Amino acid sequence: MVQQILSEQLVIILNGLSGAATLFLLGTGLSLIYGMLNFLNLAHAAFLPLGAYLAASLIHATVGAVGGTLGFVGLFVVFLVLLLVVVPAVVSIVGLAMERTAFKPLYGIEDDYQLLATFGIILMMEDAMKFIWGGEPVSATAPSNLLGTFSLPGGTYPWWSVLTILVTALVAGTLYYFFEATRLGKITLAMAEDEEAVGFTGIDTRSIHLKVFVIGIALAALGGALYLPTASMTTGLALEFVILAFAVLVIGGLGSLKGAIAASLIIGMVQAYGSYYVPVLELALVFLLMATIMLIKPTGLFGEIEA
Amino acid sequence: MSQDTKTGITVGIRQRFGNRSSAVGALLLVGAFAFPYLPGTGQYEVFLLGQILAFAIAALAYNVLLGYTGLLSFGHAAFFGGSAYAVGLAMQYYGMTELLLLIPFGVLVAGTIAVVIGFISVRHTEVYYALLMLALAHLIYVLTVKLYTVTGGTDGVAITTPTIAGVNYLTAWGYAGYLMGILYYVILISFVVTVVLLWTFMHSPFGLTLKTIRDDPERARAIGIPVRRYRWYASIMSGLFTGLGGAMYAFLNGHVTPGTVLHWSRSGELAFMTVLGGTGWFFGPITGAGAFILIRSQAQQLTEYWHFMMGLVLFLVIVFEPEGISGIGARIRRRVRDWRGGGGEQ
Repeated sequence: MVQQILSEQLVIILNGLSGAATLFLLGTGLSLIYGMLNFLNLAHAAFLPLGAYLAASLIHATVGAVGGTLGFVGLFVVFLVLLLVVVPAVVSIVGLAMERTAFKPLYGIEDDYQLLATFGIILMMEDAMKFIWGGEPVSATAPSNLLGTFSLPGGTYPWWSVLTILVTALVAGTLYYFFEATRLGKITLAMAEDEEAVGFTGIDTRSIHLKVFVIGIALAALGGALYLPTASMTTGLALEFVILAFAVLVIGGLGSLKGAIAASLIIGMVQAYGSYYVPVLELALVFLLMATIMLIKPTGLFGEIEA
Repeated sequence: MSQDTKTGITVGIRQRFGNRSSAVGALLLVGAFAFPYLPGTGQYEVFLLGQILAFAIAALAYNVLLGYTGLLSFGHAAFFGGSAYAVGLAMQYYGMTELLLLIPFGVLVAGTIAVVIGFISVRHTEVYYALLMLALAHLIYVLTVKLYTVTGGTDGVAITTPTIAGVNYLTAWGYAGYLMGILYYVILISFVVTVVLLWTFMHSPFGLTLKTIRDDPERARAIGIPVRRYRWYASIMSGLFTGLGGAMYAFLNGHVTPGTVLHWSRSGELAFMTVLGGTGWFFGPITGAGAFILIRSQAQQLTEYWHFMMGLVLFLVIVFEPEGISGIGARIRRRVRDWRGGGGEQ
């Protein structure tokens, strides 16, 4: 009986953590790009579905081409390289191209108009994905199937979700190190305070700007690639992810990495416990929480930058 | 004396509208009333114009916030959909079919929602206002989807044919459904009422106060305007009229779902229409709603990827003509005037 309850709790916590992993990868980029570059990009969340769709195509292609010839380890390594490296890299290139054409003209304009113009961009991205991958739900469970599940009293749990949690924890740690201990990270933080002043010191702010932008997009794409093997993707989801990305941004505080980590964990747990005990209110709780935090502390849990 | 007063009013109207604009306005109004009987108009065209008018009501209301108060809302779907759902649920649960009761009911529900979420949201401005509206409106969306035993979930609610003053307008018109009967006129009259009321409000001291807040909130506060309270009033007014538009949408479409009326992308569309038409001009949002519906209906006939075209239009408008269609119109008028003036000098 006690064992049953413990294993129930373990499943809920694991669900919460893997949900938090996706949210962190989704929201960090949005938060960094807004905090560092002062650019509120509604379309940011669309890079997660883009990563997921691309991951699906790559997984299907791999399984079709070499699925039988590689052993367990070989296939697993191929999947890891595809999902952790190729997908973020390809989506980053797409993001870079979009930065130069679609996002750059928007940097100087008011926040309100940035929100609206990027709303236009997300509509375009949604339809572009629908055009390429079709309107039907897409899934590719091969990597998750390969890893299999482990058993708990009263059920099983996919190893892939555990892997997602571990990879995300590693990414979060690396980012933390980047901002706290590297020169580039410090410059980035300084740019968030005063981009012009940093520019006067001779540092190429435009190139750092691009780096932050691309890192954000790569993280969202990674989130999509890790999310896909245990779920399926449809085009309407892009618009739903936008809302969750903003929840992370608002709860954590604009531009704060610590905030993004804390907010993803909080939302992930609220969702996991919510969907277990009060399934009807699961998502509603997230937005209630978001509204409450905005009322009590408008800058979010770790935000310092005033709007 | 009555002569004087009359002249005074005429002069006043002339000053505000200009002779030509008022003539154009009157002509458009007559055209709109005669529209179902014009040669070449069928059921589809009347439906389309009805839809334009319904959205124009909501877009005019949206502009009270964006254009006059300087607040971008990403939560207007709550007012639009709240009213549409109020109409649908009142029909379903209370068997209320009287349009003349359902409209005020829908507007009242939208107003109540606006009182609550407006009160919370105006505590912040700019991006925070937009996001708080977004969060609270999305809360309503999510609850509507999840509480399917009450709301029908994603299947939505059917809106049956209402009666108008106790008369079933479909059969009263002779042929069932022909040109939607009186419903078109209900929408048209609601539209005219909205234009007149919002015009009056926006050209009253209330409207001027809002403009003052938009232009410089700090100065407005310094001269003694309770800024937050006026933003709240503006949100409520905007919510009420958006609700009127939502109720019209519900009657026109006969069915509402969370995805079509409550989702945040609907709020984005209202913002889109307003910006497309031009926020700086009272009648801009009407043009915007018209252009939006026409472009969309054309795009939908051309391709299933019409969202792409709408997104592209929105993007291009903001990058190249943030003042929207009114901005383009103003520029053309200016060019013509310059050209004429230049020609005269030579």
